[in-house]
Amino acid sequence: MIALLKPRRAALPAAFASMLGLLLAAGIALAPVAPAASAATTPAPAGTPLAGTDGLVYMSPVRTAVTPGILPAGGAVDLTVSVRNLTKRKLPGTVEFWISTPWGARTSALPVEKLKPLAPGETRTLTARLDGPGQWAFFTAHAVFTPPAVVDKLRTPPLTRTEFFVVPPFFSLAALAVLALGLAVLRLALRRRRSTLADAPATAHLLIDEGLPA
Amino acid sequence: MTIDTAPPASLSPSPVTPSAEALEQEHPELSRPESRKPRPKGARPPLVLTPGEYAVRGIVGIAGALLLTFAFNLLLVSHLQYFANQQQLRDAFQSQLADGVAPVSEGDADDVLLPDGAPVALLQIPSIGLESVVVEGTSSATTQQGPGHRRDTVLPGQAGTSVIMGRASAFGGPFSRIAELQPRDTFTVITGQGEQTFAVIGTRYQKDQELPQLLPGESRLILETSRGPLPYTPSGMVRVDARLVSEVKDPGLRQTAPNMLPLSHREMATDTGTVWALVFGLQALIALELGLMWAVRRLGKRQIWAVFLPVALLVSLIVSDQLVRLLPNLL
Repeated sequence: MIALLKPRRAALPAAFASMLGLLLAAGIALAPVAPAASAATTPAPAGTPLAGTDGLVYMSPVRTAVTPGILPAGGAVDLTVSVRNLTKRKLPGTVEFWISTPWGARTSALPVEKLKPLAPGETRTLTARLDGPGQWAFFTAHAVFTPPAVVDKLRTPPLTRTEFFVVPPFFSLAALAVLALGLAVLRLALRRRRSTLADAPATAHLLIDEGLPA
Repeated sequence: MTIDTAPPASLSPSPVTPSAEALEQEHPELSRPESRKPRPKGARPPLVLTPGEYAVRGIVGIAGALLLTFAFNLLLVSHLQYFANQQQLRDAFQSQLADGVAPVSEGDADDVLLPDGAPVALLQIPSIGLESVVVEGTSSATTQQGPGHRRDTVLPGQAGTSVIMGRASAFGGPFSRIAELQPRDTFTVITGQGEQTFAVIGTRYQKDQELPQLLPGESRLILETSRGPLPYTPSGMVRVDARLVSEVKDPGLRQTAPNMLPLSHREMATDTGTVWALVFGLQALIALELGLMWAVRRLGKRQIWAVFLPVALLVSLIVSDQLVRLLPNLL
């Protein structure tokens, strides 16, 4: 089952908004934005017989796969988790994915998605694509699976998984490189101009000396 | 009264005696003393420190050396220690298996309580490249040698729940990849009762639901380590639950009950059992600083370097080793 989810992106910081504005003003066309996120499920083969004492619900750590982009709000990150139902009945639940900066601000997020109930013993792999992580470089991926509050007369808290990952900020790095190159060229030009100005009076004296009678 | 406006004889240049400026121009090396020679560009004047400044410099230097040796110990020496310890433990455990005296309970073949660090099992998880000898005990000093078996739980493969705790980053980081284990992955543990095969059930974090009690005749193994955003920065714990899929073995006699387990053997605990050694080490550093202060006025710099550097390095290594023990046992 593939479900397309509506994107819900946090407001871009003012710096990025200004950079976007500059790019648009310069006539640079932004690539069309793909659907911000999708969740895919992969039915797992039948597992080992359930022992009844193996617990109720398991969730794997969240795995990340980064696709960096050159545009300020480009790139994407795929978050993948596996949820396993070890109860003897169908297990409904909801799942939520988002990524945040080191300061906790959400940069990209998906709305809470209601899952098709997991069959007994089923392991389902959930993959979410979050677009536009931005230029913050360091991120934390979050995935939360919320089963019913009580399953088999036992309290089942939401399962939260987090993972730190890095997205190379290519746009910022390129902008810094261009800035450094511009400064170097400017410095070289200023140095040449100074040396030209310093040589100019000597040349004038020489011309005057040559012009004087012996 | 007449006013003599002529300059005094001493100030007027004599036509016979050459002036000082003329002499300087002719023989500059004679007219200007060595001390007045202009210093080369960028050269600094000689640094003269007061005793107080010497003391501050010494303290900062020793603190810096201590920090460096701490990082060196944690990032490099700890891994070498782990591999050396594992080699010795493997030899000892193989010998015990060959002799049929490998532990099957909390006591050894002579019914003497196993000391911390005694080998009890060989953990093999090929899918994540792990093969490590498990030792008895889970304090910070014990898990430096390898994954530790929690004393208040049965041995792997015996009826009941067994817990093995391992480090994620320092000292070889043997459990750094256990979170990659997938449900239904299998692995083996060799104990004195033979080879036990386990199938992974799943991964749990700290706030997840606790597992239900086992039924009689069931066996479970829990692998525990720390997790964090970056290596050496633990922010929580991760557990991998596995169920025995081979024959269940009889549980051995356990002397340690859960309420008797020392605090230093619990998850993310530190080991303060040898703080006295840390105190002695810090005292040695202070004595070294005082000796440095005494010697700096009496000996040359080379002699001070030759005498104090090796001693400072040795004491710093001892102190940093004690500091590492104060870090969590799952780091």
